[in-house]
Amino acid sequence: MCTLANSNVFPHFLTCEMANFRREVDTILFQLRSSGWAALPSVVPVVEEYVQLKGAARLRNQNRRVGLQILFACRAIDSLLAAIVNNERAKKGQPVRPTTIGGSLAYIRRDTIGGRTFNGPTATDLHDLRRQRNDYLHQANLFPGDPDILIFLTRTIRAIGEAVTFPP
Amino acid sequence: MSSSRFKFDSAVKAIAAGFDPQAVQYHPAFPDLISQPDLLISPRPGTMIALFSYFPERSSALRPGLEAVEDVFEIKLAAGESTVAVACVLDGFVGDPNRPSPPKVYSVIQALFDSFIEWPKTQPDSLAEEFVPVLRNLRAKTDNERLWKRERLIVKEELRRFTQAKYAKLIDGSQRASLRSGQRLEQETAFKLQLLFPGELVERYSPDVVGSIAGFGPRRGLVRFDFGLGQRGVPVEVIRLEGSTLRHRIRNLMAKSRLLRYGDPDTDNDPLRIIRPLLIVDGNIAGPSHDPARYARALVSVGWEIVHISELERISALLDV
Repeated sequence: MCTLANSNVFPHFLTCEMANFRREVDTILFQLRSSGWAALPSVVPVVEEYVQLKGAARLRNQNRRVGLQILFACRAIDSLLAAIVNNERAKKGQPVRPTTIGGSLAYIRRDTIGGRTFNGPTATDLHDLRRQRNDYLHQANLFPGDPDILIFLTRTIRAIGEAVTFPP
Repeated sequence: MSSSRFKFDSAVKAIAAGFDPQAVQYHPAFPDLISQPDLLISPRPGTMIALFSYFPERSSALRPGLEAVEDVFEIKLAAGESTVAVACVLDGFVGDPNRPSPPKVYSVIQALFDSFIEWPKTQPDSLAEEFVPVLRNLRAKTDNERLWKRERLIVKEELRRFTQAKYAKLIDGSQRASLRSGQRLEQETAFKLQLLFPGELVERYSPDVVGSIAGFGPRRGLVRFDFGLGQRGVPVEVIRLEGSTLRHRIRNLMAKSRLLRYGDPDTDNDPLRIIRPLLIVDGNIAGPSHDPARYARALVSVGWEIVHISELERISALLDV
């Protein structure tokens, strides 16, 4: 049962969903730290990024909170996918190099990670995420409201959760 | 809170106290899980244990047992096959403890979970001391690895059918149930299905599944459906869904679909023919506002085809795909 106060700031159902979102962030952090990927040095910054994401939720100013959440969530998923892809490249004797999220997704789709690719809905979500974040990152004073930022952040968490199940 | 639940929560906290606080998370939230584990533990680097607790229910053993089956499938798929799934059950979880042999679904649960702990109602606290050393060394069963990998492939394939637009009416939270009682819903649906599929409708359909899952089988009569389209071998379930009972019903339905399809992993190279049961919904299966398609997506991922009760004419086209 959600008992958070501040219902004068957010509608009650959004407050409950925010509380659940914070649990989801805690869980993805736990999952990252206890996964086989945690031993990879390039994944350590991803964990730190999610710690920052968790801290950003405490900011009272909506625009600053949302702006930072977008920044941390995008950097986390970009970095995690790059780490996963470069780990796979190294396993296959391919050269390791910096890669953007688009490059990572193309590699995963084409070459797979240990035979694995993203499920259809997750791949669709990631495509939508790229489009949305380009809007947020390149348009001044554009800040998604709380329902939209929740959708955005939940999609990143779901994608990271699925990526963490890829074999290291 | 019931006294059983209170004792159980105390025991879970006692277990958690046996680990570094950083290695434990109470009441986690995985976005895609219909039901969450009670506790996550990371006893050593690279290992995660998900602990589920189950309590006796007044209704038949089959329903809570099926939900436990779904829990283990979901955590293995969401968190990885190497995640250790532990079921902690209180006496009475599967009904009368004095029965001469446990219900079939009980045996399936024991086969699927990596560890299965039965706690007597009287002494849950003392068992925490015995249990913590066991947890530290637990590993996922290698025997079931092929099962989880096969299920992952099936889920990926089934999700190709899913688009939000296709199930728009079902995930619209404003869709109210049109009929007041479940019995009337079944009667009216049966009448309409007889018109659409003359001579095919079978009531109380229980498909024989010859094979095994996780070394337990063959399974006959393990799952039952409201109806079946006999000639096509399609099980049909009819539900009136809104609100608070939704998540329990969804878990139950997902387990039923999964249990339909597996052969013996030691002898079969290919999964059994994928049976797509049909779900007819009066009401809606909308998820939370930030993910309204969650339950529809989950049901489709395990093989269900879903249609709203006002759109039964679509069934033929859906079954022919």
